[in-house]
Amino acid sequence: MTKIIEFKNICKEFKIPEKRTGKWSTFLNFFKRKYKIINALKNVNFSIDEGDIVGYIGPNGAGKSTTIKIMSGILTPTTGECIIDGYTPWKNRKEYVKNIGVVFGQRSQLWWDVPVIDSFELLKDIYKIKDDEYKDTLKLLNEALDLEQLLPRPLRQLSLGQKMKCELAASLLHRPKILFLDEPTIGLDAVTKLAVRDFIKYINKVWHTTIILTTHDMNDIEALTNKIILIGKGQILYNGSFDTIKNKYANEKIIQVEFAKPYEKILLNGYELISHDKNVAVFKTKKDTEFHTKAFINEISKEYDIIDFSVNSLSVDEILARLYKEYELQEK
Amino acid sequence: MLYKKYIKMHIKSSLEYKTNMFLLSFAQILVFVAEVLGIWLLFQRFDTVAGWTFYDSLLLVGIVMTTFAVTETFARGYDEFPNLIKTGTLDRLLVRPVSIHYQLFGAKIEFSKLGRIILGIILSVIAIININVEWNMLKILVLISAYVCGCVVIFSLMLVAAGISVYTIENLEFINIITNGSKELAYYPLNIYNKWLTRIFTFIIPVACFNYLPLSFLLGTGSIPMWLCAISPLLGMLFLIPCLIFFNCSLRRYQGTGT
Amino acid sequence: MKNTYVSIFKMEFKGELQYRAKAISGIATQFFWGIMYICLYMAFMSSDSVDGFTITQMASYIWLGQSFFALRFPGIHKSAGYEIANGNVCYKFTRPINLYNQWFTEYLGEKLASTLLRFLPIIVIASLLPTNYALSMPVNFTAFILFIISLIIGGLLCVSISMFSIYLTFVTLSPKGTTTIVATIANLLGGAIIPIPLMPSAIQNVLNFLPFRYISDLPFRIYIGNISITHGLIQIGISLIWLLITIVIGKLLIKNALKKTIIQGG
Repeated sequence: MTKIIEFKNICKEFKIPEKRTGKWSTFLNFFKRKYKIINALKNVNFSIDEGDIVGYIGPNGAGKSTTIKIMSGILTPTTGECIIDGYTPWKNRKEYVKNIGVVFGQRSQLWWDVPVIDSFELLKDIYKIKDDEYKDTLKLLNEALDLEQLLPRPLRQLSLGQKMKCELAASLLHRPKILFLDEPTIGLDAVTKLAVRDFIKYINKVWHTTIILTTHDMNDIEALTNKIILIGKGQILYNGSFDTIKNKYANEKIIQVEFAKPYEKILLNGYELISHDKNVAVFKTKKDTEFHTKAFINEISKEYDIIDFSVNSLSVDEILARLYKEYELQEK
Repeated sequence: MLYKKYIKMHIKSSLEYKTNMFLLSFAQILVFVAEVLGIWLLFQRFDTVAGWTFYDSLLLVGIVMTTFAVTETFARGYDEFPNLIKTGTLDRLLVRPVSIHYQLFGAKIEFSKLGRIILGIILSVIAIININVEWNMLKILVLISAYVCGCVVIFSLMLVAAGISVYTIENLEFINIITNGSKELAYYPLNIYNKWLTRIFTFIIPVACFNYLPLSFLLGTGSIPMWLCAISPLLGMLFLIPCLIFFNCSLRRYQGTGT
Repeated sequence: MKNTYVSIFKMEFKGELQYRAKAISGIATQFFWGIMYICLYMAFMSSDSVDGFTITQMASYIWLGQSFFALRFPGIHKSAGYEIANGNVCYKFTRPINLYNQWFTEYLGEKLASTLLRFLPIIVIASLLPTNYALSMPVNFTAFILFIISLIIGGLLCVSISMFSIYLTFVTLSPKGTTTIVATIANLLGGAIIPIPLMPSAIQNVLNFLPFRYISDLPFRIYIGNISITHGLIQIGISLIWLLITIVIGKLLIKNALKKTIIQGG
C-alpha cells in the first residue's frame, strides 16, 4: 500500500484575544486586550494509506478542524511538513485541490436559492470536468444517493438530510482522490445516517477514494472503518485499529439486577455498585476480572432474592468516554 | 465561460426574491436621488462653488456614482469579504481549483445597484450636455479614462478593506472614512477642501485622478498644469498595484491564522 | 415590568461595548466627515453668514451632528429586522412582553450606548479646533437646557420613526430595503444630508410641517442660538406632539402586523 497522506511534525499556533472576567471586564476589554498563544497542534505525525477510510476522532477543540483545514490547504501550519498525493497542500493550491473533495458538516457549498443541479453545473465548470465524465459521475451519484427528485429544487427547500446528500454529491463531482468529511452525519435522522454511511462505503469501494472523516458519532466509525486516529489537546494519542481499543474494554460488563423486594443497603463482593434504587441495582465488574455468570449468580443469591438480571458490554460511546477520561481529555 | 455562469446563477438567485430585489433597487435609487437633491438644493441657494457650476459638479457626481455603482455591483465579493470569512465561505473558495480573485468576482453580483449605474450614466449625460466644453478627441479620451480610473481606484480601496478584515473583523466602519468619505468628498471640486484633505485624496488615495483633475482639464480651469491633469487618470490606476499586493499578503496571512 | 426593560437596555449597552475597534473607528469617521463638511459648506457660504446662519454656527451644527450621529438616523435593530425577515419572530410571541416596547427599548439602548461611547471625544476634540472649525459653547444656559430636552425628545422621535421601518419590514420582509428608504427620507427632510439652514427658505418652510427636523435640527439650532428661546419652546411642544403621534401610529401598525403574522403562522 502506498502512503497518500503524510503528516510530519506539524505544529500550529494561534494567537487569540483573552477575555477578562469580573466586574469591570467589559470595560477593561474595551480598552486593552490581552492575547495568549494557543497550541492547536503539537508535533502531529501520522500517515494514511491510499484507499483507506480513517476516522479522526477527539473531543471538541482537540484540533480536528485545524488538521482538516491544513490537509485541505486552507491553513498553513506554523512548522512541519505535510505531503498529500505528492503535493504540499498550501503550496500550488490550485493544482492540489483538484484532487480533494471537502464536506464541512454544517456549511453548504451549494447556492441557497437556485436549483441544486445549477450549482452542480457551476462546479462542473469550476473543476473543468469533461461533459461525458460529468454525465457518468452524476449518473452514478444519482443512483447511489437517490438524488433525482432533489436536483431541480432550490437548496433552501431541502431537509437537512437531503442537503447532506447533495453536499456529498457536490464534493465528489470531480472524482477526488481524497475526500475530507467534517462531521457528515451531524443532525441527520437514522435513515439518512445509514444511507450516508452506505454511500461513503460505496464510493470508497468503486473509486478507491481515500476518506478521512471526523465525527462524534462512534456508530459512524463502527459502520465504516476499523482505523482511527485519536487526537486530544493537539496531540495524536492513538493511531491504530478500533478493535484493539474495544478489546481493551471488552472485559468490562455492566450488570443490572432486579430484586424481589427493596433492600436498604447492597454490598457484593468483587463487584462495584454503580447505582441503586429500591429494588433495582447496577453493578460493574472490577478491573481485570472476567465476568462469569454462574459465579455472579452464586455470589448474589447468597444474600439477596433476585428476579431478573441482564449483562451488557460497554457501548461504543461509553468506550470513547472511557478513552477520553483515560487521557484526561474531558472538559472540566 | 465560468463567469457567465456565475452571472446567470446570481440572476436566478435574485429573481427568487423579487420584492426584496425591487425594494433594494428602489432604496438604492432613493439614496442616490436624495444625495443629488441635496447638492441641487445647495446650488439653488449658492449658484457656484469655487467657480464651478451645478452642471460641472453634476459631472463629478456622475463619474463618482457610475464608477462606484459599477464596482459595487461586480466586485461585491470583495465588499462581502468579512462575511465570507465569518461564514467559512472563504475556506470553501480556497479548496477550489480556480484563482481566488476570479471566484471573488463571481461570489456576489449585486443587481440591486444596476439602477444606480443607469442613473449615474443619465446624470453624466445631462451634465455633459450642459457643461461649457469644446469637445475634441483628447477630451473624450480623458473623460473615458476618468471612468475607468474611477472603477480601478474604488476596486483598489475594496481590496484594502477586504485585506484589513483579515486582521480585524470589526473594523469595517473605519473603511467608511476611505470609501464613503471619498465618494462624498468627490461630489464637489476637490480644491474647496482643506489642503491636507486635498493632498490625502490626491497622493495617498488618488480620488482626484478620476474626477477633479480630468474635469479641470475638460473645463480648462485650475492651477495644475494641463498635461498633468490629462494623464492623471492613468497615474491613478497605478494605485491598484500596492493594493493588490496588500490583499494577497493578507490572504496569505489568513491561511496562516485561520479564523 | 420595569426591570425587563432595564435589563434589555443593559444588554444592548454591553453588546455595544464589545466592539472597541468599531467605536474608535466610528469616532475617527465622524471626525473626518465633520472636517469635510465644514470645508464644503464654507466654500459654498464664502461670505460670513447666510440669513443669520454664520460659519461658526455652521461648524457647531456639523459637530453636534457628528457627535450625536447615532441619535439622528432612524434604522432598525439588527436582530429585530433579521428575525422578522426569516420568520423567527414568532418565538417572541411566547414571551410575556409587549413587542413594540421591547423593540423600542432595544433600539433606544443600542442608539444610546453607541452615542454615549462616542460623543465625548468628538465634542472635546471639536472644541479645541481653530475658531472657524470649532464647536462653540452653547449661546446661553437656558439654550443649553432646552438643547438637552429637545435632544432627548429628538432621540425618542428617531426611535419612534424607526418603528415604522419595523412595520414595513413585516410588510416587505426586506429589512435592508425598508430601513434604507425610511432613513434616506428622514435624513434628507431632517437636515442630516444638507443642514436645513442652508436650504432655500421655501423648502425650509415646508420642512417645518414634517416631523423629521425635530429629531436633530431643532436641538442643534437651539444650541447655536439660531432659534430663539421662545421659538424653541414652541417647537419643543410641536416635537412632543409629533413624538406622541408617531408612537401611537407605530403601535397601531405593529399591533396590526403582529396580528396578521399570528394568523398566517409566521
